[in-house]
Amino acid sequence: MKFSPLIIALSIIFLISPIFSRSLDPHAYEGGRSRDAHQRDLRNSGAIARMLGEFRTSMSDIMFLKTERYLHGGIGFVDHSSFKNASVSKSTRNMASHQLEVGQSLESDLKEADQADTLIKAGDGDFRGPIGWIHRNVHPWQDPSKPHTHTDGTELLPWFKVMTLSDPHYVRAYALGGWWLKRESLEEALKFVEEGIDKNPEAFQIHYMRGNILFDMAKKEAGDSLYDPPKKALDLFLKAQDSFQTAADLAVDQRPKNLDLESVSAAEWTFYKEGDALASARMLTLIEKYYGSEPKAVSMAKKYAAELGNDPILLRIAGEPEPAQK
Amino acid sequence: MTQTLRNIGLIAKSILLEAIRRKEVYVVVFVACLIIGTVMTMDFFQIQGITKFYREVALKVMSLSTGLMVVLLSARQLPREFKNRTIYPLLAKPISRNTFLLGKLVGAMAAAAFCFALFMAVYLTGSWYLGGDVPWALFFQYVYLQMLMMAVLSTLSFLLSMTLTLSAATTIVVLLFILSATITSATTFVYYTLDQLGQWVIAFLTYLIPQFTLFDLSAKAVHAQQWEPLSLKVMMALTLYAGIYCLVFFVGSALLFKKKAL
Repeated sequence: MKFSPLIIALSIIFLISPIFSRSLDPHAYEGGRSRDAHQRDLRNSGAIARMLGEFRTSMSDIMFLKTERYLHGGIGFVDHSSFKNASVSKSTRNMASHQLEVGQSLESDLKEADQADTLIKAGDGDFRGPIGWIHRNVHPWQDPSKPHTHTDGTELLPWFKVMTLSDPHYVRAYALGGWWLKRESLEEALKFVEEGIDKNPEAFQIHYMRGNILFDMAKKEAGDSLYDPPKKALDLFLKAQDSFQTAADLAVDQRPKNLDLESVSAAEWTFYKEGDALASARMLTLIEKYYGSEPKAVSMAKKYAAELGNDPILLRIAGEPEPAQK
Repeated sequence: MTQTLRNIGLIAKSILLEAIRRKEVYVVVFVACLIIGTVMTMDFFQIQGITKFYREVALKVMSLSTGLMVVLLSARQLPREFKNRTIYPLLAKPISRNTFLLGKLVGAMAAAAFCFALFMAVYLTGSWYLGGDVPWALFFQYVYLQMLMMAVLSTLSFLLSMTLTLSAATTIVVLLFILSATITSATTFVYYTLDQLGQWVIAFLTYLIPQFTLFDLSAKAVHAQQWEPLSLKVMMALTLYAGIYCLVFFVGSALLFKKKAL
């Protein structure tokens, strides 16, 4: 077989095609599971934009699932692909609790994951017989009834980088990638989320993560003097507060008015955003309380409690009675 | 017997030389190396020691590239011999059709091994450059299973190329190969949503179609710290599994080849 100029030309075009796809107008398309349906409908237009855009966002979604696999040593769990942990604050809180004992089985994991089936079925539920047995041995798999362990997360980082290269509007990739990265390098994490903010200035979850990173930097700088921090640390606390403020304000603007969290139409906001909006407002008011003015913190807490639905923590800061548990 | 082995060797050598002279192997390895090299030089937040991503991409690219090359090489062997009429002088010599077919298979496997050897050199150099440990036992098991998979791919390509057009045969084998993991996941998922007849069909197809994903040890090789090498029992089961398909496909190809009018 001789290589005709046409084949060579097509091969070259194929090889450099990622460059073309990277230069697609990033505002022309938004898709994938990381967006809400309304925004997708508003932004998606044109067949080509849909096809190429969907390809890019789908790739990012697949890569996001890869991070789940990496976290579990390659094992695919059904439960970990769900929407339940889609809120950045909830995801990071859950991960943080997992990471307390990196590499060790956790009883809490067992309790949380007792519904977590593996993608490859266990022996008694697998119709394939010997083929299923081989599959379970060749691919990473463990008995779903046993507690699972987590890796330290460092190896996940390339996937977040590639995810955001593939889809610069993948908000969760910037936010969660920032969280994992800050465990390795606060400076690199800050650079990463600031790149995310440049590309997604309206995404309050990334502002929230920027606040978290700056808050960690401030704590590191303050050392033992957390309640009487040196100027550099105080400046960092105030910078963190600015980020939380931006996040909280954006969240308030974007949150549907008179939101009924129980309603089906509000489900996407609930899962994705409510937790992050509240976390931003809480951090903002707490920093104000400890490093600014307490009366201002109280008024902030009242304001955000009114805007975001009487959060018990905000009400506690505001000194108001907490709502009765439903 | 010695003469038969010599004939097999000669035919196999001609296939290997053909693959090398046509530079297909080099093109496949070059393109794959380009991808692997790009991944290797990516800077991930200036953090050292990140190797899983490299290992994952490199092993997948190695498997995919070698598999595609084997399918293309194997599928065209028999139709081309008939089309170019080169089979007549060959079979005029004291070479049986089975020997001829076996020689083709050994040649395709030799080309796959050559291709894999080049990839291994690239992969190991990359691993050394990035500073990660190579999980040797799992790595060699990975290579062994890949070669088993190549044998199944090659014999299946022979079989389908004897019954379908070259394009159709190539397309079917490539799709079965590339979508293997998806097919396996889909069938295990769909099975439980079907009625008894549907379940019976799915179970039948599961055993009829070779599950190429069973030969893919890359995930364990990537996450090698958490996983032990496969036991001898599993390796033997996989060898048997591949052997059964190879035998069925090879015998099927040989029978069709025998019946084919010259």
